[in-house]
Amino acid sequence: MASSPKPADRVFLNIPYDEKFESLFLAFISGICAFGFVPRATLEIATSSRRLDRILDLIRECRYSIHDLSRVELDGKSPRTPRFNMPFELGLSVAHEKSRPGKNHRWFVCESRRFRLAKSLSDLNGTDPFIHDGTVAGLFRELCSMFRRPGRQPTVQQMWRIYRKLRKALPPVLAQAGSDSLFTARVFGDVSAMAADFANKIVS
Amino acid sequence: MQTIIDGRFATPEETAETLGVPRSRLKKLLTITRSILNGDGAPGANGHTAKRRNKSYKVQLNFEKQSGAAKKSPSRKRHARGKLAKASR
Repeated sequence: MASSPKPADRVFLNIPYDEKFESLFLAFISGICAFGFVPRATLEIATSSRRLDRILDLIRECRYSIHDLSRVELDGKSPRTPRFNMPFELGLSVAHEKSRPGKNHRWFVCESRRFRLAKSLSDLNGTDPFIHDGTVAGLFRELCSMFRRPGRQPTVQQMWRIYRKLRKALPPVLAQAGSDSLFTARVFGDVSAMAADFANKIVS
Repeated sequence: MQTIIDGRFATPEETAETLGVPRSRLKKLLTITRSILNGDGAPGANGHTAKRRNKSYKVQLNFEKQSGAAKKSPSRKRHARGKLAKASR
């Protein structure tokens, strides 16, 4: 009996949802789709469901997870606090990987500044973070260092093409969603589906 | 060390299904991606490309001309006189 084809791998994106991160958010989606992955994020979680359970479900459903720990500053709103969600979700991914060694979950850590992770999260000493410098070009470079797809390896130029086309497609998508933010479940789904279409046509 | 990917390359349909994008909306989204890939530019909120928007703009202009002409009809004039009289009171 012929075995069913292997499904596309999913990548859990653990990234900050703020305006300053919009370009990198789009770049993450473009790059992830360029490698033929399906991006997943906590944006998908409906507010009514128990958030922590859904985050765990999402991590379990994904073969890979990418954790961007570049936002370690205090936010602007009072009371000023650092964001703990991203290191927390990284911890959940590490625990998931360690508790189920045969299941082969792999996690990656991104930072924008070299050597900062050793100070902000010294428990990860010995783990090399991928330093994207807070730029789209840097992120594409680092994604190419993380993954290799034999036979259909995307180039950084192809990732840029997907990214630029995705930016072009944003106005009608946002208008149709009645939203001015990228960080909603609907926009995330729409943008990811379009990025997958661009990737299928651009990456050969 | 690089991770070698052995999974299938995700299709837009698979991505949409995973992320809960309905088929009808995916169809609209693929129309947008097609128009961008063909170089027609990004469509507007209604899904029309720039070319079609221009066309509909022209149609609108024609309509305005026609509606301007219609104002000259006697019935409209009567209506306008009536309104003027009311406003001047």
